[in-house]
Amino acid sequence: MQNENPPVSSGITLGGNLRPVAGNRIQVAGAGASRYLPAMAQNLTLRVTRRLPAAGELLAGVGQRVDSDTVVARTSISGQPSLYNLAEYFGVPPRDAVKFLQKQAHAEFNEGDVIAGRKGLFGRRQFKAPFDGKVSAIDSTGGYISLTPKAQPFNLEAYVGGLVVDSIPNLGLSIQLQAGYARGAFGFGRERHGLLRVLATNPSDPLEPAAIDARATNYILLAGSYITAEALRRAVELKVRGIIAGSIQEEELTKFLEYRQRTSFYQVGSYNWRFPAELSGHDSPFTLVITEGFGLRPMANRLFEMLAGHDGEELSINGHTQLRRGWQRPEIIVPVIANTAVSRPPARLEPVQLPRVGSLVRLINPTYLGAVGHVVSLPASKRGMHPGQLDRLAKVDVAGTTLVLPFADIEVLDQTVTAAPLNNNRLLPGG
Amino acid sequence: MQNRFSKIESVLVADCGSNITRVALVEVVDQAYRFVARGEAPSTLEEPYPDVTIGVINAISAIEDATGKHLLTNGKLITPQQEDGSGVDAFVASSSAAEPLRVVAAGLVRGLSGASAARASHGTYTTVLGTISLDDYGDDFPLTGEGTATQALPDSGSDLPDGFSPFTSRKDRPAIFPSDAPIPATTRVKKAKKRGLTFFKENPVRPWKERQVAKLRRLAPNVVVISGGSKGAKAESYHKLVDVVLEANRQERILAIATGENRRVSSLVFAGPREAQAQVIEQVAGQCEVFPVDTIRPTPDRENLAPLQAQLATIYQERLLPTLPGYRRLSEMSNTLITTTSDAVSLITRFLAKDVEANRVLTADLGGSNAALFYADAQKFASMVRGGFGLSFGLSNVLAETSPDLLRRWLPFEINDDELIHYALNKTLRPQILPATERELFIEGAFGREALRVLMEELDREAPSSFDYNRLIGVGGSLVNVPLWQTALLLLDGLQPTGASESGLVELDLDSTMLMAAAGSLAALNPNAAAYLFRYDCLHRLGAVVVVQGNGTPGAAAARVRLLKSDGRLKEAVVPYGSIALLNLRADEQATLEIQLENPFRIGGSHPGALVSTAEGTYISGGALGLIIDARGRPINFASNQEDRIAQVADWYNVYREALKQAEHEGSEDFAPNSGPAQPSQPTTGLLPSGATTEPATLRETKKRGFSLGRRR
Repeated sequence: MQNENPPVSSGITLGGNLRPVAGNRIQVAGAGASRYLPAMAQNLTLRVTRRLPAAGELLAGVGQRVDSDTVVARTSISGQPSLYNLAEYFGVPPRDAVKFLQKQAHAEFNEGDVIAGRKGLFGRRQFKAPFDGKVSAIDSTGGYISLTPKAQPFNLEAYVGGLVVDSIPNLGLSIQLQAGYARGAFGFGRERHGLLRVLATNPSDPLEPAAIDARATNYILLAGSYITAEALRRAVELKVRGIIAGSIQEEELTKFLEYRQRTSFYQVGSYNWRFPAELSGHDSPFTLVITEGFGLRPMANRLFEMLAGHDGEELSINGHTQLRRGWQRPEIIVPVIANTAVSRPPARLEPVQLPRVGSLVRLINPTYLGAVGHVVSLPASKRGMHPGQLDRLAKVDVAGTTLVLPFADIEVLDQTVTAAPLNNNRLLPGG
Repeated sequence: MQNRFSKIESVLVADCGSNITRVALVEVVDQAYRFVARGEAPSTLEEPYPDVTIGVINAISAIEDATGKHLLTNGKLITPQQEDGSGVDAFVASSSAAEPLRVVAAGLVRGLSGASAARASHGTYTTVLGTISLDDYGDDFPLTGEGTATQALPDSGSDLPDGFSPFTSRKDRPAIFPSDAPIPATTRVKKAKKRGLTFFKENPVRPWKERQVAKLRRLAPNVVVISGGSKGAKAESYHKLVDVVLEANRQERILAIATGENRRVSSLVFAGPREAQAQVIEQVAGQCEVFPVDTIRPTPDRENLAPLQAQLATIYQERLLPTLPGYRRLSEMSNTLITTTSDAVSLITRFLAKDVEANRVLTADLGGSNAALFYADAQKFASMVRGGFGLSFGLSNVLAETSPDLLRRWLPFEINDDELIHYALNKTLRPQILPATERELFIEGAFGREALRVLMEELDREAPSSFDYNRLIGVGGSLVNVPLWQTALLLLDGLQPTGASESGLVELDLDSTMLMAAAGSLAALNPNAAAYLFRYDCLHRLGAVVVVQGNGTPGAAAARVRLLKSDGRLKEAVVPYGSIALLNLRADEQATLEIQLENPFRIGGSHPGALVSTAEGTYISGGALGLIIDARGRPINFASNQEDRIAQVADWYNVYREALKQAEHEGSEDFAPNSGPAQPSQPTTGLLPSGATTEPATLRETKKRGFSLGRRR
């Protein structure tokens, strides 16, 4: 049985308290931090930074080759403390409550140990430790005591297989690898890796619940278009490790997550910008990556082809989605095995993935979501009623139909034709 | 006279939105400040560019491209303006991209003070998370351990009860997401007692204070606003509310010590009676920040929200705005304090109400992640600003406050729930996308209408009487980047103006150059420049709207209109109930108007069936669209069967097309788009008759029956 990482909370929690962002960060190697990753690339040199949530010990050194399940670092992390009001427990003013303490601040205890006790007229009243841990804080003015459960060992896995190229003493390291990369629209579930099982023959095949059988256990499944609540439940029962699908209907997702109020999962932004907004504090047993969005949409065919080409190979996925304030989208990393890499040279990345004539683009506006086409031309005229508005347009050929779309509605998947790049030296955010 | 402004010949004004950063170049042209060029770039707030100034620099370089003026050197702004004309003298900025202020409103009685505090909190970018009050139940929380501790406050950092997971067995799962609607304390306690749950049993009913502390900690606000009634409220009641805040903060502080993390403690704004202030300050005794302001309810029937709103705006400016990535660099670039976009727009709204006599202005700002309404007249100002509520990042929140049925009624085609819901969710996931098809434009318009409707309802709830405005201004990309007729319809449908009470008329303007926020933030640097900029370059006059009120049989005539232009041309039209008519009339044209109403229809305060006309010596003028006669009644009634409703709505959308066709047929050139703001090349000495500053239509009794509409000649 594989030793899986316990979930690490990252970013801002529901309670609004700030915690440092832990976990991995993926960059294009050699490009520095200031580079957007493309929406999809067949072969990139990626650098994945792995960080411990707290200082600890590194178990892999620079130059070492690691597998995705290699434990590269370890530390121990404390649980969340619980507060207890001693003053009320003993029925005394807060100031007097601390007098009954039998353990001092930072003292460790085991379950059942007496933390505080009082001999009274009618006998003895004791406050016993509900778990193993330590006294993390005592508040003499309010009569509170805070107990923190014993620290648990935390093992940080490599997540991707590759070469350790850099390390941050006591905190983390960077792993470099050749890989295909794709970014999803949304998802949930932590980072996981596993073998891919392709359950669709083309990008418009939905994932039927019946298709998920015992052979799916511990695999990451690739569906073509959409997935239903029933299929997701079946995935839980059969201990599937991950699912990559083109789309999902809102109704099916709420059915699966069992929201009493359908709207609660998309009321984003009041605490944080996580999406789905309200997810259980418990980690999901599998990771879901939806590549296009909501609806009954096929997966962009180039993406499907890339993934389907890796049937039976190992890949790493992460479903965490945050729309703003620590922007994060689901990601899929498919290591490129040397002999398949020959057919496609590593992509050369430009600062900005702007569409050119011939670019393969994914259509992301609601009407054409999931469709893929080629840029035929870039009309010179700008849309808009006033000067300075920069809605540049592209004519896109989608299976014989020509559509005129603003740049904002398309995402470059592949720059196949080496046409002269557009005259643009600005830093335009993609995605 | 020399002053510190006199040397400013050119200014760059930036507005950093959550999606797009816009920079406008304002220069002195012919002795007046005029808008010269504007650049747009995507805002840079996230990795790998978590610095808002990068987007600003990109937008400035777009201006360089457009004008050929040299503004940057090595990615830095050239300042002051050089001999060769490169660079600018000043830079000012506003932003709407920072997180909203999280507010919990607390009051003695949920329905009264709590509600007032919640409303007052809508003056700046805020999210009102909930209310606590003496008659509110609060949160229950499960015990940890096996009853060893009576006071267990589990701090899982999660809102969910222990043991919940959609992924575990479905049996025995606790209910999740308790509705935030407070439940009266007494009923719940009684119920619990009936069930036999007492303090000594496994699930004791917690005391009020503990439940409120639990609720407050779950909500984790930046600010708790405690408001109170007029004098006479018991001092101990405030004591109880303050105690809840102090207790929640104390628990957070202990947990901060326990975990070594920074945890958020709430500040307290006390807007109760003056007598109680000293006592509250004494009670707080330095345990948290407290800001006393004047009470929001000086008498039971009067509200005084302004001091509280000002205090919250200050807190936002000082605490939340600096969390904007790159705020420090932006402040270093800027010559003034960085303002919020809502403050800038509200300033201009108030300016406009004071600048022109009898102007009563409603500004509707529909952005990507924020939306706002501002109302101002000579005495009064009211605002409703909603953070995380808009047409891109905020679209799913708009969806949550409306329903597919309400959205569908605005659409001239059949559409199912899924398409509407999925549209909103997909746009929330990819907020940068723009409508690329007509259908998408319509759907987005439906969301815009509903967003405005929700805002208007909230603003109306605040007011003792409904807002009587005679000028309506549209602001924000969602209104500007659509065809003009759609913008006009969006405003009319979403807000459903009834027309000024005295004239039944509303003048429609659009901030088509998106300079309103720029003018507002420029005011801090140079009020003169702001006034010029706003006067000449800001507003695009869409037209005048006459609202015919009353209900009748759809299709039956509601009003017969005679429009006599000053050049002698006459236009006549019969407007049936349930429809809109558009008569072409340019902004620079003058005309007299006569409307014979059918019974029971009326305009403004006229009698049903009256003859209404422009008084002698007054005139009416149009705009880019012309004169709009809206005879759909208020509120707008929709046909009950779907087919008829679709035809009805399609008719409204087609009004402009039909009017255009007719104008072409007649060989008229009245639909000249030339009615926008004056171009910089035009001579600018002296005041131009631009829509923004001319007097609104005034009322004068005529010898004729009914009353008059129109503007003094």
